[in-house]
Amino acid sequence: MRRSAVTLWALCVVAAGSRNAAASPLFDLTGGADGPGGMQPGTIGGGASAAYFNPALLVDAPAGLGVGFLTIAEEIGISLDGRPNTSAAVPGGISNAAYPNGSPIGNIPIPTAQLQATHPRQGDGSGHQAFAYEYIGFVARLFDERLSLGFYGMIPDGNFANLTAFYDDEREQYFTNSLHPELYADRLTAISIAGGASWKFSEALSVGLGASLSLRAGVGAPTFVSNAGDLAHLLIDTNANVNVSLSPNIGVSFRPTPRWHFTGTVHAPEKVDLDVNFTFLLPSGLQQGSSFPLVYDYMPWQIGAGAAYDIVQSTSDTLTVAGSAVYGKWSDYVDRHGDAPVSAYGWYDTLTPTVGLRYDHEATGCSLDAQYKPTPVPPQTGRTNYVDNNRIGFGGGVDYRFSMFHTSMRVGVQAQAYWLVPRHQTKLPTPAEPDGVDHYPALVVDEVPDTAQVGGMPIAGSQGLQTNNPGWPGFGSSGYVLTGGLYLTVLQ
Amino acid sequence: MSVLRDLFLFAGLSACQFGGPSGDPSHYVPSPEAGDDGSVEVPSDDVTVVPIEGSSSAPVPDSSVDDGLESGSTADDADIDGGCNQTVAVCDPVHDTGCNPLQQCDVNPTQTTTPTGLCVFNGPSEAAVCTSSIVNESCAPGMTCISGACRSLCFCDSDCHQGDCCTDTSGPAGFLLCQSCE
Amino acid sequence: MRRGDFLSRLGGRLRDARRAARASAVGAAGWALSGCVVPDSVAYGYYGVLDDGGDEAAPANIAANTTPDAIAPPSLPVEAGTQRDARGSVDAGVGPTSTVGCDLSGRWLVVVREVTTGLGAEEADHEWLYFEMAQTGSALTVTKGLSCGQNVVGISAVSANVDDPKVWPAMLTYDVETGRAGTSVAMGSECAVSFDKFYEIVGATVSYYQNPSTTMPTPSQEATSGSPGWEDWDNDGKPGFTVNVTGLATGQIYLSSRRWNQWSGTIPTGSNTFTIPDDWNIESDLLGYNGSSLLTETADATKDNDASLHFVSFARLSPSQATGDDSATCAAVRSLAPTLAPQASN
Repeated sequence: MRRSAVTLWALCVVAAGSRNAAASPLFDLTGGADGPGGMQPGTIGGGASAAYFNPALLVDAPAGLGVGFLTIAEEIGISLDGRPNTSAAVPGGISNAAYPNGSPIGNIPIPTAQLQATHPRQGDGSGHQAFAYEYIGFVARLFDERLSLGFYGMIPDGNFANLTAFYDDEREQYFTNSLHPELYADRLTAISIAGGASWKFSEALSVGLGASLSLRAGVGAPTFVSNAGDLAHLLIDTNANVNVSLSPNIGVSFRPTPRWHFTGTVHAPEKVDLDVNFTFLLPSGLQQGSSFPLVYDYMPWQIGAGAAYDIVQSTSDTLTVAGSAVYGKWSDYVDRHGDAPVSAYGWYDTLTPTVGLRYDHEATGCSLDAQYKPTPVPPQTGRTNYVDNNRIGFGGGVDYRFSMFHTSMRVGVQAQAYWLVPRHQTKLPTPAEPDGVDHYPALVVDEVPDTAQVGGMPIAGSQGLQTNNPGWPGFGSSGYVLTGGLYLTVLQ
Repeated sequence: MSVLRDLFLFAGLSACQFGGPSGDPSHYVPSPEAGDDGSVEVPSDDVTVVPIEGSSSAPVPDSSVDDGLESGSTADDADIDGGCNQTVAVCDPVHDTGCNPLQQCDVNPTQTTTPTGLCVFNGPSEAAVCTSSIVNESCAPGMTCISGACRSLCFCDSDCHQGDCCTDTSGPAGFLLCQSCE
Repeated sequence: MRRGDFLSRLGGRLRDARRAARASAVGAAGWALSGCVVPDSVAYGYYGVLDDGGDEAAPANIAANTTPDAIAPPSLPVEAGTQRDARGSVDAGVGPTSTVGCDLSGRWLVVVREVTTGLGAEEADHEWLYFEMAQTGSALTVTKGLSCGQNVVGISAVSANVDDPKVWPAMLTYDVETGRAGTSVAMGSECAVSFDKFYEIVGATVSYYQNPSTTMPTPSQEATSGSPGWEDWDNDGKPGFTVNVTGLATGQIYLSSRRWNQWSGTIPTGSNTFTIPDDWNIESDLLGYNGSSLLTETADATKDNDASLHFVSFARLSPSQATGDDSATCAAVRSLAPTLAPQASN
């Protein structure tokens, strides 16, 4: 029933094309890729990336221009449980299905066998990709080195930005019929650009203010439907507009003693909004329109705190132990279609701890970090299929400072490895709903209600649960994400 | 090294989740509308197609007779309480009284709190479906135009044809519509 | 060397190095992951039987495990004392059980298939009929003609699917084709078969609007005891009959309609099943709608120009098929149609 409408939506999304976008889920994964910050960039400065992670730490970053490149490879496997029998298969011949009172039953599901033949389950996943990025950053000093300015940008190669929306429930049958990693995939191609400034009140205290770029795009697609039976010959114009907005972040750095160092950060939510509006006009002059929002690269409020202590301080060696934690208010999450998880499966707020060491010996420095990031996603035993895992990460890096042609430079290499702890969830059974009404909206939806009819006659095989939810009857996920890169900073 | 130990301890204790799911996912919801404060998404249409300005399709306003009835009251209550002699301001569109001989009484759509009539001229519609405005309508007296269809207004069953009952609440605020008694 | 020159040269070298390093880094990442690939996987499961016919709307796919007898006939929301009086049950023994020459006497299941273009999409309109026919010489007469209902099925990629089962009982009551005349004449090894033009009214006063010179009622012209107009045939309180429309537009439209058809063609002698062309047209009278205004386009469906798409199929019924009272007969006709007249049921 709704297939035609779905087709129109798809057309509109196609018409929308790729909107240039910016947000920082990429920063969140790569950390301080331009210096010793590593997986604790909000606590350990040293590069222009502090403009995003903690602008107060710009005072610790050497002034200069930095360039580099980075690569990320994700290998996230999703394993779907086998469908146990054919009783849950959507039968054929239901394109005209309706309730006994004649009202439509909602989104008409595709007959399961037909769906499997054309869009096999998990045949179009997005958890196996590699990306390359370039970054540039600079730090400048002004006003007797009290004011530090920084800029940090990371731009994906290839597709400038990749915004891919998918449904996290049975509605995805109409598209990829697959599950997708909720917090990776297209979120790893977000353009990430941030700037910040820091003011050093004293040798002990500095405060910074920064902002990262977010975009809000609107796409209008006026469409002329000359023949609704031949959508290949639609006439479409597009009216696109892109507005830039800034998501602020603040940071503070405090050194009460020469050995102790405390930091704090607050990041406002970030996202890319894409509003799709379309109208379609028929030869008769009738015109209708619709709009819907899409939300990409959502990052919630994040509050971070960190501490570092120099265990060893000498003229040639410094050994620092550092720990930090970031509180992410993921309970506010909205998915790519602008839907918030239902309360019965509301997301957790999370606290992500990281510990690590920094060691400097004369011109050489190295870093080592370990991180545990709990997933904000509760077990998906109901209708939704948000795929995410607890994550354990290790990171390390080495940098070397040298002088060439009377110019000081720093070159470094860094890498992180994240393990997505295996996870599996089995869907809860949906109790029988003989009256045909969905009484358990949080559970897997019976897409062919028991009372549905075609032509006034009952539908064979409609009793009990019929679903094309790709995550039914259960699924698991696990995998790895690796990042690594090189950087060079020309120091002032 | 006590600092290091303390940091690791801090990290271990803090690696946790807060908040999260609330409510039982297997909770029985009597009807989708009665879901827990709307926080549970009910499978539904994904896009609301709305008429563009100028379109002839004026959707039936949500304000049904419920708006005119106080909370808890039903159509049956209206029949009992208001009876067939319910008071309507200006003129009575159900019985077509209160207007001059050249006009007929239709529902005043701008008044949603008090049942109110509006004297209009009767004129045939050139469109395929019925039309109405603040000055004329194409439906017969005692009827009103809803979504292109002429529907019989009523306050009680006796206002309807035999076999029809005054139970349809999808009409304008303060009025009921006749529909089959089945 | 000035610092600016140095930086410029350095920038150039960096670009070259960056390209090479980037490629190698991506390759390295791929190599690193190749040892720990975690592929997507789907455990073996069951997905049901592929519908080879693709005929989603055909009742053959509906209630496949349900025998026709198990299908409850639709109730007749009719009032006693009106012309909706129930009629006697069918005598299953009427007429011959096979065709001899061009004699079409007997009991027939009839399915009319007419294709319209509505909202830019092609849709097949099916009407199910039950005929008892008697033949004298070449003169053919329908001695009992029941209209068992209709539906519309989209047959193009994007079509409006229309279903109006609640009006079927009223069609059975009002749209009586008893008395329709025709001929069946031997022409060599074939029979020339024709049926007279017949006007069928739905959702309005049949006796009045069967006259094609009359104008179909407006939304304000409800039939009363003294004047013709639209009638609420499905007893839902809405004018005419309500059609549930799904597809590009979804909602309900309220219609009355006047349709005529006339059948003629040649068939092999002795045919127990045959198909002949159908000439037809329809006046859809839009009385209202609920939902998108696009629905009004659906009501303006027009006849497809391809004459080969319009035909009527006849299938002779055995004595045990389609028996009982009129409602049971029609329920069986609807159930048997995809089997006995598959071509017309698509």
